[in-house]
Amino acid sequence: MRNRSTRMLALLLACACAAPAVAQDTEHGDPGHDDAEDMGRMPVPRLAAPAWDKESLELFATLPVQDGGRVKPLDTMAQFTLLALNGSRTLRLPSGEKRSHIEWLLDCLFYPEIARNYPCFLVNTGEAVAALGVPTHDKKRDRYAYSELQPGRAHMLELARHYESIEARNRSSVEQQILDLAHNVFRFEELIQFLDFARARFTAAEGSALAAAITDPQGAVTSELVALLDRVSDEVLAQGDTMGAEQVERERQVMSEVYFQQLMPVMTCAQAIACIPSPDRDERQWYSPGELPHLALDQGQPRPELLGLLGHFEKMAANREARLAAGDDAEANAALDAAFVEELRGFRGAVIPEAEARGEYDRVPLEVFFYRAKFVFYSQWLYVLSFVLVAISWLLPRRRIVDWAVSLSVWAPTLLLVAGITLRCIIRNRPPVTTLYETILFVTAVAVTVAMCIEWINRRRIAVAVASFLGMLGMFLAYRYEIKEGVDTMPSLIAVLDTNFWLATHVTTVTMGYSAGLLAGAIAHLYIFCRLFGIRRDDIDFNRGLTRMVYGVLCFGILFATVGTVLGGIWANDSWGRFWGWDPKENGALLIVLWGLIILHARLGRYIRDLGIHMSAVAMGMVVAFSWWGVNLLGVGLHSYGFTSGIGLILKIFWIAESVVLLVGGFVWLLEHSGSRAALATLDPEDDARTA
Amino acid sequence: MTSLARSILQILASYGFAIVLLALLFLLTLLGTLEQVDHGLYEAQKKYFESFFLVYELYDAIPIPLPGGYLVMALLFVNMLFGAILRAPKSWTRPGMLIAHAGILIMLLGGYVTYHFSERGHMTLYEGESSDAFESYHDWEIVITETGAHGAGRQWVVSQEDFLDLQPHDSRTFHAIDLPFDLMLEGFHRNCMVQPAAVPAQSVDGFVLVPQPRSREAEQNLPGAYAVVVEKATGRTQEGILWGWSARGGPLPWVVDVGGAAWSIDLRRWRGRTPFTIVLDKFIHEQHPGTHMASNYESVVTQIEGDTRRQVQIRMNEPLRHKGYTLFQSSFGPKNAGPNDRMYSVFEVVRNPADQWPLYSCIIITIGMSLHFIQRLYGYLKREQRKRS
Repeated sequence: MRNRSTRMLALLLACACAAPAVAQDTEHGDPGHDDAEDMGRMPVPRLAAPAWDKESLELFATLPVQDGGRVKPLDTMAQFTLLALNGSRTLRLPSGEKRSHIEWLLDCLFYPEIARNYPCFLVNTGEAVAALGVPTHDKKRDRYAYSELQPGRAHMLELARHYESIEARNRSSVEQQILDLAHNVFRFEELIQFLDFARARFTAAEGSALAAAITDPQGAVTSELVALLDRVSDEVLAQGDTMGAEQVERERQVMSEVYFQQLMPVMTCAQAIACIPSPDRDERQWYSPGELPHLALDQGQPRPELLGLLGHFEKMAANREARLAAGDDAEANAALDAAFVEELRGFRGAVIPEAEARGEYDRVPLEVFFYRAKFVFYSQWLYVLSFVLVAISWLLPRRRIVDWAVSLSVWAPTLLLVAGITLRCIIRNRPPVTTLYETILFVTAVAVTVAMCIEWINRRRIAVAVASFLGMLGMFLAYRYEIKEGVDTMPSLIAVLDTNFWLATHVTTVTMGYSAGLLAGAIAHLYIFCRLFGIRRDDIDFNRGLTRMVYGVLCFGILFATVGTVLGGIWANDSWGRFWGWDPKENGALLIVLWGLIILHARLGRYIRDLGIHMSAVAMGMVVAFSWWGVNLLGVGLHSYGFTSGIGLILKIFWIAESVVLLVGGFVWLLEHSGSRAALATLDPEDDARTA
Repeated sequence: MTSLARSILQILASYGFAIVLLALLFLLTLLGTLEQVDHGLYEAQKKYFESFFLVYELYDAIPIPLPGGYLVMALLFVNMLFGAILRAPKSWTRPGMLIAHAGILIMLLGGYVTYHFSERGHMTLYEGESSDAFESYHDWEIVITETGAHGAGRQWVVSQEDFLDLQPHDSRTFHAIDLPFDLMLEGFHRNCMVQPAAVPAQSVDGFVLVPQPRSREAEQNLPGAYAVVVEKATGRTQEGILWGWSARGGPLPWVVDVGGAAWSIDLRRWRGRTPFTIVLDKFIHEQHPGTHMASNYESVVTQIEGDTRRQVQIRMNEPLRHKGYTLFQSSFGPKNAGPNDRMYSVFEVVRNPADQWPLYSCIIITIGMSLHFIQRLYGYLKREQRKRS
């Protein structure tokens, strides 16, 4: 949605646009709504709208729209809108039917009276709904329909206005949920009112020139009215002398009333989807249908091509009304669907060549393909499969074919993930990491790749197991994070980030440092638990192998974290005028470097040996988690584009779990040093030095 | 070398000392980061990273003394110099670490130079305006200027080190040989407002200073104090209020009449000058279409130096560097300006002798660490290969 923040402010302060067609229509009897009912728009309440034919869905999915500052497929806009509201890209209806994101969006646009009853608002706790004064469901976490929330709408806005004034970190969970719900309700209202203009009919006071010009007894449609307003006003002006001043004034009042009291309210509500490129190719802005009347009349003469675009919407809306009225008449439905597709093609034919000429369409189909291919989803399940395979392989004797099969099972999802990352780079013409979401994909891909390289050298089926586990975990995190945020994961970037050079150097190197830190920590878990349970105690090669692996990965991580951190400083020196400002995000990166240096020096000074290195690596994982996610929760500093919320609990659980692992390590050390258990042969720190 | 000196050198150069210092710096960085949530960056930076010593209050109850970041980094420099450079193996079989440590030394040295010798402030210009002055965000000064016919423009400056430590109940008097009066400050607050007094008898011209809680954004704090001018010749006193707001174009400086001359006394932000003048010709502000998110903002300026005029563009990530000064595109306004409103542009002005040192050190560290780790990886691979064969 465009200008969300401004719109939200408008919502909270005045509710100027949203109220008329949706809320007030039931509470206060909105005249516009009565008109709609007079037209017999929704004769019978239905639980689900008629199914959409494949062709319409495809044509809508690939329709370019401008949203969040960039041109993207309508499909992308639909899926992130539904994700934000519903916590899933698919909507399950009470009847058991499923609606994809694009079907849901089209239902909202073309069948708003039915879509109002779709349970698409996910509420995590019934308390938030109860606070609105509307009945709650038995389930604490459940989905509500707009029609259920609507009675509490006025109270919700009042509460939201109050909560908005509270600083985010001081809001309670319920307060935040109500605020989010208000945002979502507003977004939903923008959609269900979007085509009100295409269904509306306009009439003028009897006896006026405008009324005489409107020939259809039901009233003029929007495109017709805009043209008539222009023509009639010209005529009135031309006949001013013969008509008399009083009559001219009366005509002017009639036109003004129709324009401001009938036309403008519905056009103001048609802003949610900017699907029309500006006729001026130098202007980057796209327009929504709501802006067309003004634009069409801007030059003094109505521009037929713009009014034609409004006409497509009107015909499509009328078609869907007819489709609803036709019920199960297959033949009529087929004919109506064909006519609808024809109309949609007409609209696309007017819009897409313009988008192509502006160079804004070429990657739209690719983006649709990217999301349909579900790279992250399939990678996740392939990693799960690979983890099962690795577990089975441990029970099998060492055979080359088994090694190959296991490696292949990890490489397959990794390649899929890398392909996904590459496609994202192509779509946005950016390096691989520009958002927090993308850090998850990149960190996973690098960690798994490094682990597989270690496996290639080491061939003990240890690194490959860690690789599949990390892959699985990373993809799960990416999936959950995307749902939690519910926003486009390929957004426009703020000015300071608009530099591919620094994104490609600083961001990728420091993120590779994260990968290595987490990988080292993950491998170290294996060592600590093997040592606790005495697994392969006497296999010195196995134990040394693990230590070398962890130490090597730590070195790799320290190199990248250090270079990445310093590069970040150099970037900051170019953008903010200082190399180092003790900003939380900078400090987070410094903590990784410092912890890495402590490990290196402690090992060289023989303060830590095998177990110490592994425990330090586990702690490194904790430090990376703080740097990667923890500092973003603080909500302070210059790196405001990385702020996030709502993952504090997961992070705390992670730190507590890792602290337990460290305690286990400490327990093993105590056991071995108290003489209860023979100490393990250790890796001499000078061993590497001598051989190197 | 005596055995004591040798022992000290050994400790200073030891791995153990390095680990302790790194661990302390780790702890300070962690605490300094978390403290920013409640106290803001400026206060945390002063307390944890620019100090020699500090006391950390655990759970706001248990005081724990800690060395400050300045001291820790200075000792780290010494440790690295002795340990990694002077006492390093003299053979060139493993040069990577030697190079990397040299790079880190340069970076720490750069930090020292920046901290002590850099100047920083902002220059705010409306389109068409020009200036060669910039104003600090955080540093303050009291400037006494002699106005009128005699020696107009002569200035005496009290730097913030001499008054910023004053507590509200303290008073301090400032003398200068060639000034005909002494200046006494009392009732100083780091952040305060001037308001009409409830009890006129306890006020200065009906106004009092009302202390305010310190803001997390340090640049928003406005210090103030009651000032008393004591004439040396007669002992006559005049009372006034000095308040930082005047630095933002508010009330004019306090003007006193002493010995037949007028003197202005001004508590204001520290001001510096660039050796060239900047004229803001045009400010360009672009947003991502359909949003309020800035996609680009840049200033077209003319840099004037003597008779030389040069037009330059300053934008995010592309500052203007000239004669040791760097001008960055920092901000702009007014925030809700319409398309035809006159815009202003804010430049961050920095003079930092160590401006590019981090870049040099980054290159050196990268070379050093890469060399070292490649050497080690090579050794590891060779061992694995030997084992297999």
